[in-house]
Amino acid sequence: MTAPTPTPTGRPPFVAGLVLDTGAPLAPGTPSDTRFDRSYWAGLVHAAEAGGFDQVVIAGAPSAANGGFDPLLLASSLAPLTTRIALVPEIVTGVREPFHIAAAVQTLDHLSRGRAGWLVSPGPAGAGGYLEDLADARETVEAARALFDSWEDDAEIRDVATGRYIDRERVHDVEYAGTRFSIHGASYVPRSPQGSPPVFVRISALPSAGATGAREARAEREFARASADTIIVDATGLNVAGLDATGVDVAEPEASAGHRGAAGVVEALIADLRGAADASAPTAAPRILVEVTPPHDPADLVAFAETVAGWYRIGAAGVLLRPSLLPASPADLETRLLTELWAQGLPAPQTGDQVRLRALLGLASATNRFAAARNEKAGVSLER
Amino acid sequence: MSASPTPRRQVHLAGHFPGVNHTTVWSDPTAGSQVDFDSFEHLARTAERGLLDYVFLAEGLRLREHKGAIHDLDVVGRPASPALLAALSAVTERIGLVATVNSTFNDPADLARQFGTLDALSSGRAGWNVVTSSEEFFGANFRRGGFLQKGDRYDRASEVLRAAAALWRAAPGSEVSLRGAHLRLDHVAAVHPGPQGAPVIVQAGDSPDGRDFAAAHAEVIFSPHADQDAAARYAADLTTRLERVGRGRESLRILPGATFVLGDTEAEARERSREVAWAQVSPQTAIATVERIWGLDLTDYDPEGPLPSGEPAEDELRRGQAPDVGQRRQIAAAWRARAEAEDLNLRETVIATTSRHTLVGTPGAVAERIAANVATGAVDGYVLVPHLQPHGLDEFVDRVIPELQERGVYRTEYPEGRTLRDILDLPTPPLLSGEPWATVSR
Repeated sequence: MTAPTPTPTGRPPFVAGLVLDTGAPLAPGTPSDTRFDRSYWAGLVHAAEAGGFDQVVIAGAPSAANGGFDPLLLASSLAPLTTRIALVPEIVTGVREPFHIAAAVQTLDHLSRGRAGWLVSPGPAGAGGYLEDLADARETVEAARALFDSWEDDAEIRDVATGRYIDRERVHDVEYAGTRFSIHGASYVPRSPQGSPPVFVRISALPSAGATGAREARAEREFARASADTIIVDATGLNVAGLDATGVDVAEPEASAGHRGAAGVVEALIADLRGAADASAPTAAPRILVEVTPPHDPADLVAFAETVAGWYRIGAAGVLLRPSLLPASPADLETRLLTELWAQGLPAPQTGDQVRLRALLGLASATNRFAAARNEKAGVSLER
Repeated sequence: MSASPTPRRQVHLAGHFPGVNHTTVWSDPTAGSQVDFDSFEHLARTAERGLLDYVFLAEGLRLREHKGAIHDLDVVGRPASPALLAALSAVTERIGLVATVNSTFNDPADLARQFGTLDALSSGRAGWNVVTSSEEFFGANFRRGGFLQKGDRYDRASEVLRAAAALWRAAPGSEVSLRGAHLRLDHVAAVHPGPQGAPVIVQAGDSPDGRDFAAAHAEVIFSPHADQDAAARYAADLTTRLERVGRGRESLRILPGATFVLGDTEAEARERSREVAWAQVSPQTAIATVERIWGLDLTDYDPEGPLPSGEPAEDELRRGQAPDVGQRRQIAAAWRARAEAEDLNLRETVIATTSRHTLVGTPGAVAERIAANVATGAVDGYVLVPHLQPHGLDEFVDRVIPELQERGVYRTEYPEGRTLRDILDLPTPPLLSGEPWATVSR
């Protein structure tokens, strides 16, 4: 388990992110108003950037029992204070208008110069429960991606001779018509540095028991495959560190029930997700990040790092570390695990400023559907 | 020009980010990006250097349209305001940050969480310019669009504000429940706002309902009445409405929008104003502006020729920025009278009527005029609307602010209190007084 397997050629580097939840419990003894202190968050994210994390997922459901900042606005405030770390706020769908969601994500991408992603969390969208929430989230992603494309890169022309600020042939009404809502478009935000900031979707490695749990898990994975650029496998409920999953049901709802190690549950899920991806277009296939709670006991660090290295070897893009408590101060942010991971010989991403998140994740540059259509049309008429 | 012997009313100034109308001269060689953060950071830092009360962002929820296509002659496109102001909160220390956000096309609890977050991130420097909409034109971009009757706009906005205030006042994590004519809300209070307890409420509507809404809830009015006579009538009307709800004139700051052009001499300032106006109204913009008022396609008209001779048509060619046909007929009559009296061609008429700058003169004369207007009590200052991004405030801050300070009508440092409400020198607002409108449970 100690010698890392050489990376296959062209394999994107191993990425390591941190998950901070604005509504998570604070470490004991921390004043409760700490979560509403902007310098606390700035300190944490600076420490994460300095400690080698290449992305931070800022989670925070609006209904958290402790309350908590809006993740997108917190991420926006951190954009000018950071240079390298990617910022991925959680956005709960269903309540906030898709048009506003798209504009805010585009704005974060402008503010961070291409370091924005968004974690799409299906939120309450009606009386139909989680399946309806998933359907609503799926349409929200579709509509947002159309809005992301509504401006072509070169729409702003400032042509004094004709008095035109934009070439309106390059700004498009999206006319999105889903089953749940429609949007005229275009976005009021010009195209952002990444064009289409990557969509993260989180799926549970440990679905609830029973038929409903299995059905919801299937729908959740289907939503992730259909909508995500990056799938987060939430393994925080599994005791990965101790490699002990006694009593844990196998994560694949289709498979026969049984018991296996927690790491194995994750492995099976990675294999399942990879198997469903289109092998002919590797940069289009969703990236897989495994979200785990890092071990408390330093003695477990090496074994933990080896497990994570194993996931990378079978196709995961990297790991997200989610501390169970918000640290009392930036000095308490745990980064030793990163050191241990690099010690496994995993290929680290290129460092340097202004790395775009899509590039960091090994995703292809976003193409613009409207520009592509217009170019295709122009090409056809030229051939004639 | 010495200061008056008696203390004069203090001037409050805000800075408007150059926006998506023909005030903004995008064709100027110094004009920078309307989207990059650097532009906004420069403007906000300049405003803070000038000790302004706040920077202000407008909102446009659908790109404006002209003759059925996106209007392409003015600046188009901008960042989303709350996210942009959150970023500016990280690179400024004292200046207020005010965003225009529609209360109709947003969930009340989500609005409360966003403005609570912005207020906490800025340590109590946030403000919310509350606007409403009943128009289908904008509603087409929203799943819950076009649901509101025009007459209900401010009733609902009032409930949204009271709901937001209940959420801001409750301890984070507690359950807030309320039942109104428009809203039913059961939600967890998400955020402890900054030390001012709630963002400063700004309002910009001019209808009787809008003015009553302002009297009930607003702390600042972004007024359309910069002319001193109109401003005096407006202030008198608002004072009556404020008294009706038990508030005094000094609990509300009235800040009209004001454009400005400076010069070393009065003659130079007038000449620069003329040049800016010509840059603001290109030949194409002149034609499009007359089309907007007349409701007619004037593609073949000569901008150097006369105005159309007929009356405005019923059709609205401009969407997202059009007065109704009754107003358009009045405007057309006034423009024709002006053109005839001063022998102006079409473009000159548009320049004379739409690009007259509010404050034109030497820095000393502009400062004197601002101080004199504020002294009357009709206004408390102005929202400065520069015509250039990002350098539009530089000259004002460098040259007019010292003149105001010399006259004893403008601060020489920010006040000790660090919130926007402290900077505006305003009392506890109605939304934070009395019992909150909610049942709160843990």
